[in-house]
Amino acid sequence: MTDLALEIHDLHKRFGRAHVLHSVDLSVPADSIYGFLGPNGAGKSTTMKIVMGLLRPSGGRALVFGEDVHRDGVRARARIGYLPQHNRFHSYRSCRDVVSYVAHLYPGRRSHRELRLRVDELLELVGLGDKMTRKAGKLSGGEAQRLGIAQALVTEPDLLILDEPAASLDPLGRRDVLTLLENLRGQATVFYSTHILEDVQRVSDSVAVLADGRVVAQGPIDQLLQAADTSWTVRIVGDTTAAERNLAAEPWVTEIEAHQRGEHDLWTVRVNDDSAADERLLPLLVGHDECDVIEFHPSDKTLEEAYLSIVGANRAS
Amino acid sequence: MPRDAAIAPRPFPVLPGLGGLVRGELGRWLGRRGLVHLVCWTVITQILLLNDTIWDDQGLAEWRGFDALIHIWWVATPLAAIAIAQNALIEERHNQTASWVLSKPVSRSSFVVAKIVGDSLGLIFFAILLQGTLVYLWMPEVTPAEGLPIERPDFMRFLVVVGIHSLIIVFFVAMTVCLTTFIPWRGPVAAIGLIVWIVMWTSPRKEIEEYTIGGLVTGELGDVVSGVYKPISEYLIFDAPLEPTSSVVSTAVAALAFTIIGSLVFRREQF
Repeated sequence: MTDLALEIHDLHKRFGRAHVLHSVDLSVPADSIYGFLGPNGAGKSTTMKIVMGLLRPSGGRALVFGEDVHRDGVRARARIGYLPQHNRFHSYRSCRDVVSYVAHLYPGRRSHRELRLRVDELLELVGLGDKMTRKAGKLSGGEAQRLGIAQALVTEPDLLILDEPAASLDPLGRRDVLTLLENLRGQATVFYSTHILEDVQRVSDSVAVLADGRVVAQGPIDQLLQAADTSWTVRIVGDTTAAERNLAAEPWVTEIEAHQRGEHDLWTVRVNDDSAADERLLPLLVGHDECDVIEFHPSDKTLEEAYLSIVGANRAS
Repeated sequence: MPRDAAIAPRPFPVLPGLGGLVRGELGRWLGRRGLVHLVCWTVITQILLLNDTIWDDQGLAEWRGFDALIHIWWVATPLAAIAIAQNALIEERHNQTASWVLSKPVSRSSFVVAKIVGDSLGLIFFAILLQGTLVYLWMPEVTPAEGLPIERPDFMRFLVVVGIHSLIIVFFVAMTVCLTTFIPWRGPVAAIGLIVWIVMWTSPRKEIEEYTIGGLVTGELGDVVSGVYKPISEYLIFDAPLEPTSSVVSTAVAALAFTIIGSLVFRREQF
């Protein structure tokens, strides 16, 4: 029995001359919440579609709980609940029928009553309790997304693959989805793609970053945050022109982001050499008579900074 | 689904997910589609037969009775089969619902077979079984405006005729669905289906037999315009033997071949 819910080995995908995925390797531990990040067109949806058997890989393989998705896709998919990026359901079916229909496509028998209760419970959970009989074709984008989440959960899958689950949801809906994902911790493995880094940092255990069809980083979030440039917060008052010029001339300073806050300036100084910054940043700032430093401390690292530095470094190379 | 049960290896059927897919297809016939077919087939079959048999004393005498029913079935049901089946896969592709369904534990073959089974069963129920039962019950109970009363044919023979026409529907649905796995446009698929239907309608049976294994059952019903009784009518009304039975077998084989080819082609499609 494997401890990995999803393994991807040396996965390639070509569409004609376009090489979309280059030797993608991923390991998603069982029972983890795994974020899949990357800019538009990086190949996240393509990777997910290959896992779901909707696209054929040009090379490599993907395993779901040890089952090869290309050789035995049906058995692998029996353990997956999938939410595609663009939700499309049979417009003539009601919300209740859509979820029941999906349940009937999975192996295993359930009594009519049991299934009905499960379907209604799920629709309530995703906020469609008052729209159970509404035709799927008449739902708004956000409602369709909620229905997509309900149909992915109906068979209590071991692995949930969600392609942009919070897309097209309002802030309330986004919060509900995140809570739902957090509640699934320990019950199922969740592998999801998103652009909202704040959400990833809140709920994920591990992440992988895909850029231009290559995995450029993967691992636990804490490990990934180490890759981010360190930044310092500086609150400064007075004429800061000379101080900013001197600081920018230092080779270990990568960026100075300045914002006016009333009478003082708030700077975020990004550095690529922690020890140099530790030793020299404050002396450089306080050596000017025209300005006074009133606040100075290292900032908390965010996933956004880690993501930008990883993707940025990949683009530069 | 309990997680331990999911982990334990389970035998998977040859066509995984077929039951759920067919159930879903049939569910569609319970809604507006079913109502439209109920009204249309009742108007086409019952009203036309009532008119020919009872009301219109100028009607075609040689078309009266169960022979007329067989003609109506042969003319109308293949057209309906083509019209429904040409949309089956193309609609799912166009609306991007095919990729959603295929992301579930169903095989591509199950998806194609479910379309053929679902559309065939729906059409067979509304056009053949329902209308045939009604005609079988009322037609011998009335006296035509002109001519002799219509005799109720042998029930088993009537069942065979129902079976043959159901097979014709399955043949046209399978052929059309198979075409849609090659051709992603409705127009050309419908046009090809229509050409096949016209060729079978207008070609004398012997010529059809020259180019097919045993002659397709549809070929037996050619030459409608001459007004003479066709082998199936003779079988039903005059207790003649059904010849050649090989054409029934070849039609079933052709329908099966279309199903297999369609499944194989669809397995290569990417979404």
